[in-house]
Amino acid sequence: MQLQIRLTYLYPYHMNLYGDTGNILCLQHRCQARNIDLKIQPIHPTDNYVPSGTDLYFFGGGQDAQQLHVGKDLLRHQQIIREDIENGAAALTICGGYQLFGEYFLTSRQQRIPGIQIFSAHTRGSNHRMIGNIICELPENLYQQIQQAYPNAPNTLVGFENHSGETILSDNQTPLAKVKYGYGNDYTSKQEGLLFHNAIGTYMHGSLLPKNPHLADYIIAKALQHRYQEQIALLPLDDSLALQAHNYVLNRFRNS
Amino acid sequence: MYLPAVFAYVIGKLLWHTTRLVRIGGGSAAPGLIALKLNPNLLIDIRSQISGPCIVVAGTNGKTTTAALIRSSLAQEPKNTHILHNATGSNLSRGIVSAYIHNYQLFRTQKDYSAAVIEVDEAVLPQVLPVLRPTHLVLTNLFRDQLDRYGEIESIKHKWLLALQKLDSNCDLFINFADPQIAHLVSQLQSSHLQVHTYLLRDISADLPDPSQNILSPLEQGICPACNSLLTLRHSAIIGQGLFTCTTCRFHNSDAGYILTRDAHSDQLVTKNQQIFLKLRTRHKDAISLQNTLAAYAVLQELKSKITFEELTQNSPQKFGRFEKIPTPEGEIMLVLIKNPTGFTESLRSVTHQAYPFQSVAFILNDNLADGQDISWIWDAPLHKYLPQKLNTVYVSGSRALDMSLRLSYALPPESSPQIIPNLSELLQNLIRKKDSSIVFATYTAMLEIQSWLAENKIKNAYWK
Repeated sequence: MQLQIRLTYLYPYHMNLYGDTGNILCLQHRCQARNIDLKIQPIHPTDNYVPSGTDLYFFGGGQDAQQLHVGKDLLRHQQIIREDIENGAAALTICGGYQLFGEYFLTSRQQRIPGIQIFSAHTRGSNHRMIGNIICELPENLYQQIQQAYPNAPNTLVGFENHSGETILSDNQTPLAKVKYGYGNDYTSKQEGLLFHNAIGTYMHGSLLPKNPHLADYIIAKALQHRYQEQIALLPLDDSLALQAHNYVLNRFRNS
Repeated sequence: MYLPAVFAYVIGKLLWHTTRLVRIGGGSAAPGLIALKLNPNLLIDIRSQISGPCIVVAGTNGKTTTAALIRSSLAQEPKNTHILHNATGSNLSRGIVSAYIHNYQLFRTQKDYSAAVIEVDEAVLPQVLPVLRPTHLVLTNLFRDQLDRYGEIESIKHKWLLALQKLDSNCDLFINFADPQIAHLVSQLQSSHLQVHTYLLRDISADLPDPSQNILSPLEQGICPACNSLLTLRHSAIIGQGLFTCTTCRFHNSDAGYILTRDAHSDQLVTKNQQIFLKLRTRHKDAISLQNTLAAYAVLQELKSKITFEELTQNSPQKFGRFEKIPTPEGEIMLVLIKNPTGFTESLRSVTHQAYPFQSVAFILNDNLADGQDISWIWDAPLHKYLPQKLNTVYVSGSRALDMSLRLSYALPPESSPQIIPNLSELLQNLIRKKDSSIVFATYTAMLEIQSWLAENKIKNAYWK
């Protein structure tokens, strides 16, 4: 039997600012290499589609105006996305998508964009533009889980960030990783992203997944687990090039 | 108190001589940078020395080529003996001042310029508009480019709009009407000082997919700039441009002052009120060159130039890595500057569609400030669609060679897997020895290195000559 993953791609035309396509290409590539059928269902504002049976949500970044536009539409799907995430569906939300999965985003012009409150976190526009390469270290818990999907995983994530919004997590929320180089959620805390059940929020693009194949496999494994309610081992792939690119960023920026 | 302008120029000129003497560069930026430090008002002084038309070209892509076309045509007119032009694509204030310093005659009275053709960086345009007070302004297009440096399109557009509204001298504004962002910008303009001229390239035989029909090659042009709904796009000759209509608010474009229509067999040019209708022999030209030519042609028409469209396509200058061909002993190398996903995709599409056969290809990806430090855009260009699956050689170099190799591994079959050659000189030597045609795609600072190498090795003249 061929395994299947249903991916719901939230607002691909509006939210795709920083190489977000690369993440989809990476998921496609890694699923295809293992003969997993990755079904991608896009969701657009005003369409009638309801994302039922989703194993994996993907939500990229966008410009402020487009974020506001899709933010209104997203509220329609709040209930179903929340249920899916609480039942273990995976999600990768980046930058604007991450912000909209939170409680609200208060822009620097004091415009309040409500989020769908999957994450207990909110975002405020700031005067700092946080731009540059970013290196993070995975916390022990998550690292162990990633190793189950990807035995020789590095305990780091690398990417590029470009945001002025500062995301503040509520006390009970777990950050995705600890910043070793760069900014992360905000200007000072040295925390990056958020992990809630199997849903990830992050400011890392670049694209994120191609250079972090261990994170890609973790997401695929969680999506499969959601679909089949059991852990399914993934065939290892040759990631030497991806890991070289990963290590290049580590070596170039970590000690600077 | 600033140093008087004349001293700033003299010091800039001495620096210009020095950079050449010690061969540290072409002096296309540094002399202007230093001179501006000594006197930040130099542009005002320079503007006062331009007695004829002052033509400014801005936009994401096509600036250098369009400006070069206008300049070379104007230069053919006897009255235009002395034209100010920043030819090397150095398009910040420092580049404009450097171009002036380049022509500056030490210890002589400076002759007035009969015309100026200046390309201006999109982020710098709002600051220099009130100073340069162009008589003619071309806006070529506006799309996602180096987000780490420029920020979002929305914010650039807003700044352009404010600067254009404030312009208090008369200006003929030439806009690419096929670009939804530019069309939207102009729809918001209210100024009695601006006379708007529109130009539009369309391809009625276009095989280009509507960008809104493919979630895996997303480009922001698929979104209505007025209301953020989806746009439908027809007759698209260049990705994301063409005849557009918003499905919700009905924002759309239609007729333009200068329309060039391509079909499967011919190109036709129609200008305002059918004054000119021409069948052109330009079918072999790629869409980007044609669109730049159309922009230049519109400006030249308004300047009462006698040059025809076809003459203009024939003297199209090969500028600095914009599809520039370098002959090699037994083949040819084409140099293509890349900097953003749309330009990258369009260049790839052009070389394949133009039937420019190439057997080898090199990608040189740097992430210096001038290239854009964020290289994520390489993932937004649908490489698999336009790269030939059969290639003799694929080379990769630059500070982000590994990222580029990884990107290519998603687009090429395993047998074409790229070879990383860190040393640029070695890479170029290898290509020159080949008996085939190759294309080198390079980001801005990589292109500068290539140009310097070619000059040092006497393969072509230095770009500053």
